[in-house]
Amino acid sequence: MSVLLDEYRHTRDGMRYGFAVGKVRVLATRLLDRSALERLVDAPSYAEQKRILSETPYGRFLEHANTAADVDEALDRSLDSVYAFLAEAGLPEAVQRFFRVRFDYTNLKGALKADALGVTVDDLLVDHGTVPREAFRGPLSKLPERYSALAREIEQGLDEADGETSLMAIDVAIDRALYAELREIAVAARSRFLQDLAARLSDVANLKSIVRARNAGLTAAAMTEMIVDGGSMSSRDLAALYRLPHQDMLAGLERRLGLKGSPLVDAHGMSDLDVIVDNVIVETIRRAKRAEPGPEDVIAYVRARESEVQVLRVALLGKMAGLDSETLHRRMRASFL
Amino acid sequence: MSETFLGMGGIQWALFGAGTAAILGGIGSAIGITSASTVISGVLSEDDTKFGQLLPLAAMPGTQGIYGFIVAVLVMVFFNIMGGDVQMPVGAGLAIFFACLPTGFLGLVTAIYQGRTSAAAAGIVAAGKRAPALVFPALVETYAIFALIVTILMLLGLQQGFAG
Repeated sequence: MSVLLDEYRHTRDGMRYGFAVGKVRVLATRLLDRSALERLVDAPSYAEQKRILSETPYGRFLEHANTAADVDEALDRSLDSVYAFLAEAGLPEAVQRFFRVRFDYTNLKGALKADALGVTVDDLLVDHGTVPREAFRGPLSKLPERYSALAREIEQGLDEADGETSLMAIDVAIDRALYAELREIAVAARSRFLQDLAARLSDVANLKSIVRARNAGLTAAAMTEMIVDGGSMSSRDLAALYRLPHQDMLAGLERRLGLKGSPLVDAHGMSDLDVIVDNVIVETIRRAKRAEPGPEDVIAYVRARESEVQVLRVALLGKMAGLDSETLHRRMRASFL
Repeated sequence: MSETFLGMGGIQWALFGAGTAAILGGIGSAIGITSASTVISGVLSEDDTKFGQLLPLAAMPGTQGIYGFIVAVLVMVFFNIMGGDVQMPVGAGLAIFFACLPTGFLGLVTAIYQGRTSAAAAGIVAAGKRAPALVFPALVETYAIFALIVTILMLLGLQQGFAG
């Protein structure tokens, strides 16, 4: 019976994701390959980088970009097509939401922080969410029920905190809600892969939290407040690791997350950690890829495009800021496809 | 032997066999073509120059439906069912039914798997590789052809026995 169910699932996935996978098979051939990215990093100037990119899909976005702000905006615009692809490809709504919902939470976080600090929210809002960014400029009670209820709940909790504590409380509450929703979406999508990915995303979020907590000198109890549910390591496991000496803690995290080598021990600062985290997700997606159509290919492609834009941002802005090639190479993410 | 088995006479069993071959082959082909075509449509929506290379991949799972149809027609022709007023012992009808099963079941299974293989092979074409993508779905086709041959040989044997 389970064999028949598996067969049914494969056939269903083939029909549900086939069109999107077909598109991805072509679009993936247009991604920048490793050698092109390396040429960008090794280019002597931003002008040369622009010349290299002129014959790629990024050329039209960067045509008039001459300052760091222009480049940032141009790369943001290039991401629009990636998220538009999710809708065009006819993916199930749950899968589209899996990608876009984090931008809603980023905007909700921005709106709550702006409110707590008494500043304008405009600079903190991003595009690409399921709710237009403009919605977060107005009263939060006008947002979809899920977000307005969460905002009310967080604001009530903030009455007891202030300053830095309140900002951190916002971060923690939003992160928890985000990862909980990702898990819900993955279950609703009936995709084992999305469920595994949601768990892995929780793991890497916790990895970042534990390292940040250590850098900030927080106690184990304070650190566990920052932990999100759904990962492969419980709060208790993480607290036990947190009480170890720093190097032992990092080595323990590497073991638990199955990282090859000792990237955490060798990391220099949070920017290296971001790269390690990205590479963990790359590895998760790469392991899940298979010949038959399924959400894995589409997710791998979208993550590849996001990663590509991130690498371009580092390479272009880094070059503008005068960073040397070696530093830029270290900040390069692994390739997805 | 009684004149009926499970309430059906020889002619009904023969027609049941013919119908089974046509229906299962058709279902398999419909699923296989859909699986392959969804991926191929996605590829063509980004690169329509590959239509010529992709069309055979989409069409290939359709052959099992044709084999089922051929078997159904052969049953009706070999045993003169279309001529009307045919008397057939229930044993002969059951034998025809069993002879149709290889094409029916293998047609169903191979068409579904061939659709998946074609969908995967479409990736080779999409990536612009020079490898002959059609070879892999064609390998799956082999077993549908074997089943068709087995069914035809069995029907020929039964026809001779029936005529004798």
